[in-house]
Parts: sequence; C-alpha cells; structure tokens
Amino acid sequence: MRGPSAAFAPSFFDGAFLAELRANVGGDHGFLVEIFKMFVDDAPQVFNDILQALHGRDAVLLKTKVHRLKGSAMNVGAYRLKDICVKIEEELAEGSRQEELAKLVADLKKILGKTLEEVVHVI
Amino acid sequence: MEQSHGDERYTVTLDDDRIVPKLIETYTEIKTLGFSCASDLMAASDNLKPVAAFIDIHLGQKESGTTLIPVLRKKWLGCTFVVITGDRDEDALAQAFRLGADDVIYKPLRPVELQARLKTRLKSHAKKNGSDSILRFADVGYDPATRLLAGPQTSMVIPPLEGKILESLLANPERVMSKSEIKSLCWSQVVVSDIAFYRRIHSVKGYLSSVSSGVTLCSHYGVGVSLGYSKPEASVKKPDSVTSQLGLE
Repeated sequence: MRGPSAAFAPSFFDGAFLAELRANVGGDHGFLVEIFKMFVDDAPQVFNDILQALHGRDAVLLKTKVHRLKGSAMNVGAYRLKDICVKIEEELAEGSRQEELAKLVADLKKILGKTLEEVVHVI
Repeated sequence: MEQSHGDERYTVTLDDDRIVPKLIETYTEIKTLGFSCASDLMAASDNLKPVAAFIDIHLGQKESGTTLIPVLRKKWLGCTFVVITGDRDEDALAQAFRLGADDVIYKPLRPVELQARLKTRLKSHAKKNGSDSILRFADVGYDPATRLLAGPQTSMVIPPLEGKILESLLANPERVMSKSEIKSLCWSQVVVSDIAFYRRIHSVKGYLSSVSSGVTLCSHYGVGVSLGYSKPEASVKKPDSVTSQLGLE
C-alpha cells in the first residue's frame, strides 16, 4: 500500500481521520486518489460560486455553497477548511455583514489553497 | 421500465457532493445510484426500487431533500430513508422525521455507523416487508415496517406512537383492549397520563377515518377500545385496493 511519507504531518488535514479513512477502505490507494481527486476538482469550483455569491450579495446562495464546501471538507478530513466554513455560516446567521464576510472569504481562499497543496502529501 | 440490475440490490443517494455516493457505495458494499439534484431523482423515481435512499437535508439553493421523502416513500415501499447532514440542526432533523425519514447519519460519513444502521434497517425491513407482515382489518391495511396506513380513500404514513397503537389493535381485531394493556404495549415503562393517551387514540381515530370508509375505534366505557367496522352504504373499492396501495401487486 502506498501512502503519505512517515515524516509528513498534515497541518490542514486531520491525521487521525485520514488514518481512519485509509483503514476504512482497506488501504485501497486508488480509491483514496479518486476521492481526493473529486475534492481537488470540485472545491475550487464551489469556491468560485462562493465568490460570485459574495460579490452579488446573495446570502442564500453564499450559505448554500459554503455549506456544500463544508460537507466536502468534512468527508476528506480537511478540518481547517471546515472550520472556516463554519465561521462563515455563523457570520451569515448573525446578520451577514459584508465586510466581515469578505474578510472571512479571503481567509477561506488562503486555507483552501493550502489545503489543496497539502492533498498530494496526504494520499 | 423498472431499473433492476438483475437480482442486485441497490441504494439511491441524493447529495450535491459526488464524494458522498462514492463513500456510501464503498462503505455499504451495495451499489448506489447517485443523484445531485432533486428534479433528476424525481424524474427517474418511477423506474427505481432501491432498498435504501440516502438523502442530503441541505441540497441546492432552495432544495431540501427531506421534502421528497413522503412522495418517494409511496413509490418505494419497503425502502429505508436515511437523511444525511453535517449539522446538528434539530429543527431540520425533526422535520425530516416528521416527513418519514427512518434514520440520520452525520458527516463525515463513517463506515461502522453506516453499515450498522443500514444492516439493522435492511434486516428489519426484510423481516417485515413480506406480505404476511401487513396487518389488515376490513378495508384497511397497515404496514408496520413503513408505517403506511392504506384504505380505499387514501394512504398515509402515520407517526410511530400512533402506529404502535394501531398495530396492537390490528393484532387483536376481535377484542376490546384495556387502556392499561395498550399503555403497556405502546409506552412500555413510561408513565402516561389519560389525557395524553386519549389524544393519541383520537389521532388514530382521525387517521382511520381519513383512509377508510367504515373502520373506526370504538370506545367501551370503563373497559377499553376496539376496532369496529360498519359497512358504508355507498359501494367501496375492491378489497385488493389495499394490497395495491401497499405495493404488493
């Protein structure tokens, strides 16, 4: 079975969750690659939708897309991405201040970038 | 044409994240047909007969998967409906259960939880889903597995507690059952007031009058309640319409 190098400790993924995921699929590396490829392919598109919703001040669409990204992040153990999505959801629930939302979406962009960079090391 | 995959069982997943059906298929070891939007699933629903359906509570912008459950439940009798959510949103979950969901699983999906829940559900449905499990009285039929109550007028999914009461009465159709006997069968050790008891009895009465032309609950003062039937003057549909409504034809 292939896997991450022993020295690599992920910062944007939950190591324990990844170990569990690997065990759950019986070390099927091909399956993991497929799952993470879906994540890598889809997450930037969802982020673009988030940006579009932010610029269009469409709170409903923003909430939907952030929720969607949060779900994907949870399914692959990308905990920092999940956390920032939760923050944005909370901000939206509190009244959608545009400035604060824009700041959080900027943070989301950085975290998503780092998360995607780290994918290659965790599978 | 019904999608059969030979004798193979399959599930249906409705989630806008395509990772979800992939994980469900791998973890349950049962083929799943993935749908990302409600309209696609509804368009295909007449040709499907899944053993279980996994439905995301929060779909697209204005879609909630749970609103499909009552419609799909009528089409897919015996199917287990499991809602998927990443939140602990009690209101959304309560609504999902009101609409007929059997169970809930939380993201991230975990195989142990998924397998345990699905296996228990499938086992329970396999046991109860045969035609022998349908309880009948006069022109009504009740399926305890799906809580579907059907009669010549209409069919509906009734709440779990009302279902238990009806199940116990249908199992003893010729007998007047005492209040304490029904309480013990349906509430077990829980102490329940007479007001709460009669509220549920009243609900069961309401459900029966909605689906049936003549079946009702008869109160016997100081003794208990029983099922009664008075044949309506107008002709009723053929008795096999109940079987048809329960999907046994």
